Amino acid sequence: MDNFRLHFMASDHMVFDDDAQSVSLPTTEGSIGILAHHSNIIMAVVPGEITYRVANGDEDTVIVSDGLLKVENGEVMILVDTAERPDEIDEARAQRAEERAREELKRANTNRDIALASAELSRAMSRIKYSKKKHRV
Amino acid sequence: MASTKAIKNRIHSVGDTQKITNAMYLISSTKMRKARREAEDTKPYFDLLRREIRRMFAVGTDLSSRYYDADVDENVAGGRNAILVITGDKGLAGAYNQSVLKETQALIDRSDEYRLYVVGDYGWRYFKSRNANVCETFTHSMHEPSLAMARDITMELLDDFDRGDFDRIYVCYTEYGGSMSAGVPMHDRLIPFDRDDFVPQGEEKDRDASTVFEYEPDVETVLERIIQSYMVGYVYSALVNSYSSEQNARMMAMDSANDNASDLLDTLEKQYNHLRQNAITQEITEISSGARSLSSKGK
Repeated sequence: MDNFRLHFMASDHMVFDDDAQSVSLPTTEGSIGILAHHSNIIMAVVPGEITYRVANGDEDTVIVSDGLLKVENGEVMILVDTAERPDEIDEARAQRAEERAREELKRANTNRDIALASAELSRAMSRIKYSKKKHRV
Repeated sequence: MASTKAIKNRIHSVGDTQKITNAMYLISSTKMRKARREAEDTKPYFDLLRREIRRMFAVGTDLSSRYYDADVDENVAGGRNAILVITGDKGLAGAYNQSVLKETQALIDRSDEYRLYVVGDYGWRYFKSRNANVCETFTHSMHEPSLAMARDITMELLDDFDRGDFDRIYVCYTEYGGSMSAGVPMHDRLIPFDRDDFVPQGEEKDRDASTVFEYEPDVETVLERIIQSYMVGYVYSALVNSYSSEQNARMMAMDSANDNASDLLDTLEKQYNHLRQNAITQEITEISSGARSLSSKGK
């Protein structure tokens, strides 16, 4: 099976930049698969799962948000806003919830607001703690 | 003249203040370095994105959408504007907050109708106390710029824009001007943005023209989706620029506070020594004159 070069980049880090055998990804036109020697094309990627098979046959899956796919002269480039592995997702969401709760707490004026926001904050913090523990196992 | 004890107290309190300003200086410089490093990491991505947008505009020269427009006259006043204002959370940063607020006020004065989306507690309090038209549900602090935050901000703005609440979105932020400058307050139009910003030039133009791409389903659909990602990048860079300027302004303010404290300490130290010397001299004079009178009696 022929390999092709896959540049897979999220906005804040490189996900994968090496030879791959195949990649399947969700687009506005439905899920598509790409092999080597694909014709030149540009498509919009929609939120979903991208699975790619690397040169030695291993498969990897990441969850992505909106982005762009480009095939240019046999090289495949995928640009997405965010890319997270399934086990990272919970932690990332919990962290965002924590940030939001902190902001609400800062602006809270009444006692009730403060109570609500700090409850939300402690929930978020315990979720982060839990997902970190799960990670390590 | 004050007593030596009062001066000693003063020296202590100035010294303590100097410790605080010095610590704030160090904290700001660390925060700024971290934010700039994170922004560097995202640069390659947004550069690539920008390139693809340029390529699409080159293909579809007759494209038009509510997000981008061929000719919006920047000089025409009025219209319904949404203004995203980026300020800091705290003061003690020289004129940083005031300059960007002034820039915003100028933009408000030019609009027929406006709504403010304020990032940062300082700006929020400022406009609230003046009963400006602030979007109540839009609450973002400026503690640390992140892509997730830029994404939330952009989506909130676009939601209201798509509902037809306003015709344009402006961003008021502070452009980072290097370590010796307090930054330059700016306003930019985010939507509809100018296609002229995306004209491919020179070598890149030739190279892009030589490769033909198929667009699925069509250029317009792809472009529409990409442009939102691009806006997130734009908002993020405005956040990082403002944040760096804020930290830099704070570093400069704290640096001069440090210098002032050192000067003040010097003067106080001299005053203190002077007073102490006076007291000693006086004591010696008293003792020696007392001794002389004793010994003259003894003769």
